[in-house]
Amino acid sequence: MKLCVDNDWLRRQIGNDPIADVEAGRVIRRSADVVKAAEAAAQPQAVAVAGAPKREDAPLALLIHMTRRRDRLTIAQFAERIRVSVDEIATIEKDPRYSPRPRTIHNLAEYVKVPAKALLNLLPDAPVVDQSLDEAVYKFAASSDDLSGLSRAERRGLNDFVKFLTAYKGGTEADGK
Amino acid sequence: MKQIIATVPLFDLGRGAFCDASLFQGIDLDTLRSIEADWTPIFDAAAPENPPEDAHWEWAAKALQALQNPLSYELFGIEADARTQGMMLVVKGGPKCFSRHPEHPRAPLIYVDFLATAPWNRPGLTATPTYKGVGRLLFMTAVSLSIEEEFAGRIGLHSLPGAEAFYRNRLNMTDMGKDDAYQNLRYFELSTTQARQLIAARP
Amino acid sequence: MKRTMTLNLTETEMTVLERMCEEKGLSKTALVRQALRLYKSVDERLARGEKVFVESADKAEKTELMVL
Repeated sequence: MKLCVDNDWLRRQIGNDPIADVEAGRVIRRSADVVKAAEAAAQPQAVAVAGAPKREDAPLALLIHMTRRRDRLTIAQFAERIRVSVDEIATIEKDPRYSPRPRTIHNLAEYVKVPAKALLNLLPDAPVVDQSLDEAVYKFAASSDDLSGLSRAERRGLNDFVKFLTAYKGGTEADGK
Repeated sequence: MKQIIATVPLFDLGRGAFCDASLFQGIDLDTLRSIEADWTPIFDAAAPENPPEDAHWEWAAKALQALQNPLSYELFGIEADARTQGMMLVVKGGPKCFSRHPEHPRAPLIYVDFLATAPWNRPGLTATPTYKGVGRLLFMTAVSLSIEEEFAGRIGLHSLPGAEAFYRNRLNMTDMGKDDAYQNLRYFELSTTQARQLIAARP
Repeated sequence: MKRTMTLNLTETEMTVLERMCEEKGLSKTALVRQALRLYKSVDERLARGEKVFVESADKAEKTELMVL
């Protein structure tokens, strides 16, 4: 690569530049920062969209967990019932950022008896575009407590949430079409 | 692979005169060692942080192999006195390389992922900086790459707070305001017209 | 070192390429290079099992990008 200006130009400009900080972008303090930056640049991150809040809670994990407890199923039994791997169910319950495969969503929706599209709105990468869904998730999360078997209040919370999802019409079209 | 592109002038503030420095493209283990040995202790003395878990040379050497033939970015460095005086990583393609400037929305540009100078060259860290010109040299390298990639000199970057005046006033970039998608740092762009004017500038 | 190749495109593909080159102020080589960088980055993410979404301007709709 050839520089677009010559050294005379550079001398003149540098001579007139103030003694000033010039740092831009990410902070580099050690060699690991350089390597990490290069690795990230090799696989560009999506530009974060301002004003599009992401789900911090894990309503899908909670829905599975509560449904399992209602039906007194272990992770293995539940996974078998909805015909997906044990690993995937365990990951969904453990990792709030994990997005399950479309087939898992489909089978889960069938089991819980809600539209698959409604479940897509509970994924970590679904944009929160509907306050009513947000409120329903919040109410559902608040109603649960991790005791064995469901209490009457928890059962009511789960039923209300499933009812809400069944009737839910808003949200995204993110169904992979 | 690290290769020398040019011998460039750097202003030695101690002597009050220009000296020769080398402009490199790419990176090697020596550069990483220089940053770790020369930069890091000064930064840590100024504001200690927990050392990263993976600061082992085996790891660095392995990582370097993967960085040898980049498709989407370039690394540049300035060396003088056998020390790394500054480094820059620029991105050539992907989501950050679309212009936000009203002059040419979505036109491709070179995005400066980081531009960093050695701590002894930073007036914010030392009362008597060693060299002046590292930022200007690296920035003009990015402009040159932008021209070579047919991006007409267009550059985008997020300035750290202390450097905003340099990008706004000395390089005449357009201040596009705070970017809440990038830690609220101000985003600057050098448009096609501004790049042309910058290169033609006579002090 | 740069290498040269011949690219066979249909009439429609060539029209799109030329229109985008005109719009972006790029040569065909530079445009294909940019397309390759973007394609590779998207493909690598999908290969790792990640998802790529496209959001409408009013943020009301978000669709998953499927690359075949």
